[in-house]
Amino acid sequence: MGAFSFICPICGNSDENTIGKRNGKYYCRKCISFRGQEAASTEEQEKDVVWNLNYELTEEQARLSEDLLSNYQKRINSLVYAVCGSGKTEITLRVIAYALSKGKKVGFTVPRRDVIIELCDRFRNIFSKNTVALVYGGNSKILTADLICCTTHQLYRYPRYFDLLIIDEIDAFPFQDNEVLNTFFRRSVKGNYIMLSATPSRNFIDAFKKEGGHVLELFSRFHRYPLPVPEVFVLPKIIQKIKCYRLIKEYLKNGKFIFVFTPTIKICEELFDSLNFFIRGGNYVHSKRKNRERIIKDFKDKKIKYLITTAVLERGVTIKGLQVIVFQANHNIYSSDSLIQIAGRVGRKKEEPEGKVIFLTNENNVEIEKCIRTIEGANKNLQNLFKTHT
Amino acid sequence: MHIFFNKHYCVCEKCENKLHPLFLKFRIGNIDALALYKYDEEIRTLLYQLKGCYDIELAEVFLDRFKDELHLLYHDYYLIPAPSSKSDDEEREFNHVQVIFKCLNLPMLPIIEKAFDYKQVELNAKARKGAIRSLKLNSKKSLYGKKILIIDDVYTTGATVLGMIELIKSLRPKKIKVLVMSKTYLK
Repeated sequence: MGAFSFICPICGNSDENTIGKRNGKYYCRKCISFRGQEAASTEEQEKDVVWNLNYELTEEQARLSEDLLSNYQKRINSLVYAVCGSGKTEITLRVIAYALSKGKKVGFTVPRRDVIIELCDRFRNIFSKNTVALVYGGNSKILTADLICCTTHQLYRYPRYFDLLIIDEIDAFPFQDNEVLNTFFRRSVKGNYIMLSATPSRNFIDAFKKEGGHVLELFSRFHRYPLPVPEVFVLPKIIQKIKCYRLIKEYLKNGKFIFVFTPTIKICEELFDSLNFFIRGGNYVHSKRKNRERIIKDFKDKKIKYLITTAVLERGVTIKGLQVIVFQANHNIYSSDSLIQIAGRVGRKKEEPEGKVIFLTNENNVEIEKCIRTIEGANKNLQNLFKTHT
Repeated sequence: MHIFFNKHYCVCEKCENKLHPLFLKFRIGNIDALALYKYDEEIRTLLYQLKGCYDIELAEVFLDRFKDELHLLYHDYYLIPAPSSKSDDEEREFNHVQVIFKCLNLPMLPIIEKAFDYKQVELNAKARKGAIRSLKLNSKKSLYGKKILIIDDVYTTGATVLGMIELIKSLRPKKIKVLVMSKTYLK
């Protein structure tokens, strides 16, 4: 293509390899799937904001939400470093309410679609007097409201729009290492932003501090136990089944509850058939199984002792005293990310913060090693932070 | 996908492995047809990016590997692309069927067009059969003695191709064959 100077006006991309030519005109291929209607700008208006929570914030949460508010008033960006499920959303409510009452444009964004749908429902309950717009791929008719909940992919609709933008789960898959999404994020912020994260890397925190941001940590509600490091058993397939049976027996004796993750629906059903013969009181779920919600509810109500599942329950399940077995962990559907998420199912409750994660595998592969390395690294990181903090 | 851009080697090995060529031979009435791919998720996303996002650089991706063979196989044929709606073509500034099959280096005769715009995706099989009546020829020039290859991107119910065959038969070509880029797999 030779020397040329084309810079994408939308995402700022100037890499020759990702710029195409159509009828003699250059166009950017990196952000090509992000085309659509942009949000119309609205005028600032002061509004009445009522926010109602059914429960009280803990002391530390209250302190942090004060900090966030004062940071916002001082026009400082913040990074909240808190483990998943420790109440990050709640501490942002105060600053959201403040900004809304001043008539500022406020956005809340998450890389995952199902997470934003759930969050939006919560916001609609909390800010019952204000309008909340939900924007994600395939649902983008209403773009403007008092509070905008959108996936990070939809941020392209809001160039230089938000006075306050809150981004959750910056370490989740599509956002991290995705330049386009990062540029969209930077582009859509007019005022300040707040980042929420469970496992930011050291480098990220340092870079953030360099830019003049303020890092806030929330540890108190979380029980300060490290994530469980998976134990790996390298066994042939048939022996994996026997091992699985023994482990379940052992756990049941101690009154624990068990998830067995299987790679495919077929393996899931097969394993259940053979285990059910020896241990009654289990069940299985996969994406094609009817009454899935009811089975999971039964499991939470402790009517079912062990559950064999595919990756459907990889995210978003919190059960007390859970033990996890991953059957055929070397199967190629498991990436290191999903293995980490699976390991993260364990010990999410304060009362029983410890648990075991066991990988049964034919061979040790890269993904398993990477998963273990990442968890160990995160634990170390956490311990260091505790040391500097206390 | 960025490596699609290497001029010497259009598709990199990694992306190449994502595509699964099928070379499915089938017959439409008494006419031979060949489908190169199964219409799967990968093809669907690529086609969407080409058709919906106007990413013309992807046009070569589908046939790049077989263009020489296909050129030899159909070396004395004239290509007649399946029509797409005019307003879409104007907006994206190219016709996706034509750009996909351009690399075969065969003469192209875009003589069939849609009398009015409709979207096939929104119609069911029955409605599609009705809708093909809207296809029309834009030139009455005879194709006598010529070999004709009908090309399309996706073959689903076969309604378009059947309609095209009917129209082209009236121009009395020597032979008709069909080449589609992908075929939906019906059980």
